[in-house]
Amino acid sequence: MNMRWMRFMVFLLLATLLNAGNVLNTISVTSLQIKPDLLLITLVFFSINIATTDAVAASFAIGFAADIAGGTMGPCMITFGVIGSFISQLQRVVVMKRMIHQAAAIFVIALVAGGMVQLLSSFKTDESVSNVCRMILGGAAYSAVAGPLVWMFLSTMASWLGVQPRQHSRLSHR
Amino acid sequence: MLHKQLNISRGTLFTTLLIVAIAFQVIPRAHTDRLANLFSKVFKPVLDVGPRGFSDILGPAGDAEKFVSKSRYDELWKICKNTEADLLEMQRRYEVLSRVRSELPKPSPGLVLANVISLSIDGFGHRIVINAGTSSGIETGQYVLDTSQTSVVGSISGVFETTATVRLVTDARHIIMVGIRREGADDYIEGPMVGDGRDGCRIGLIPIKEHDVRVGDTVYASAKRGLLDTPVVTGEVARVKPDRNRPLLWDIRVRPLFEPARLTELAVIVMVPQEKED
Repeated sequence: MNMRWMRFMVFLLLATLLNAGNVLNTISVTSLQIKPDLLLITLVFFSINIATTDAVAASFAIGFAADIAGGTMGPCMITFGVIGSFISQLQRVVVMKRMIHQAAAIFVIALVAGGMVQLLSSFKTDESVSNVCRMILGGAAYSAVAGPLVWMFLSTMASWLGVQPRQHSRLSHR
Repeated sequence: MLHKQLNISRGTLFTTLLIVAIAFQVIPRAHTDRLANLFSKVFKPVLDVGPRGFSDILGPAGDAEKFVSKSRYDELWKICKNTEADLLEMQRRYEVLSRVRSELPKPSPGLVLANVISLSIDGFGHRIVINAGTSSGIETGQYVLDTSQTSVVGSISGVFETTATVRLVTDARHIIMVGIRREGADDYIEGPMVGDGRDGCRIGLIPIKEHDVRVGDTVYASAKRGLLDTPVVTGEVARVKPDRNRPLLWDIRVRPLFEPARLTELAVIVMVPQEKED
């Protein structure tokens, strides 16, 4: 099944609006307004489920969208692009059928991506954000909790986007 | 597939996109932020849907007015911490002064808290230099208290704008009028107290026949017009015996309540002008 890029762009725009807007504040927690990172969950989903070359392009596109949503251009595009490309290379050995695996993967990737984005942002903006560690950790945990639900939604949207979710086991590829 | 449509390899695609991303990273923020600002302007009605939160404080597109550079932040942080430390020190000094004032018999005099800069105990005298002077209202002759014991340790012998010298009661050239009182007794025996130049003081000119003085009696610095409203404790009688040269008088040795080496903070009794005039 071929990836439908125009639909992907529309979907990405909607996800970006959700990520950047106030809607997700309804489910934010703590005084730090921690909320799940929809774009990061989307990154993991697409990196795992689409062809590796498409995944590279999709990862950078999602990173670009995350930069637009975050207000600082560059950090997310580099981070998401590199991490998404790396994850896409693991498609043949990693299959996330169970929710716990999806949550664990999202949690780890969110931690790594959060650290990288903050590092790159500090180079670019020369600004300090307080409670960085708590925000990254909290965001990763919340994304991991919300991840499987978003994953289910993305799976239902998969055919419309031209994505074939991987259902096979690791051994079937050998 | 994208790479088939564009006819480029995966590696080329990755490298190209990574270069674009790095370009976004290195291009100054003033230029790249236009994209983010455009996004937030175009989709503002959609982005504003929902409860306002943290994003309104930080701004989705990075409102420059709400940020400072890291160097400025560090500078402000240091100023904030220094002010905080200063506030804590002022609070501590206020508590010390309140305690000293409450422990004084008549808590009317003004007190100036000062730190000990240097302590000098030698053959030339027993002196302490403190970090308060005429700018704080300190004048020669004023009594000085040990804040930990609330006892008189000496008096001001020299004063400058921001520093002053305290001559301790143990200094051989220090003379003050003191009174001896025993617990439960009505007698208040007054006499001059002179430092012995070592670690104590001596009280003379008290007739043996008229006054009964014993070891353990409390010694007070006597009230003095314009300097001390009420007697304040300064030591206790450590030894009493008839004077060797003048057998009709007591030779009284006094042990001050303070240890010079442990004095770190002193309070100077500064009488307000109207009290001086009385």
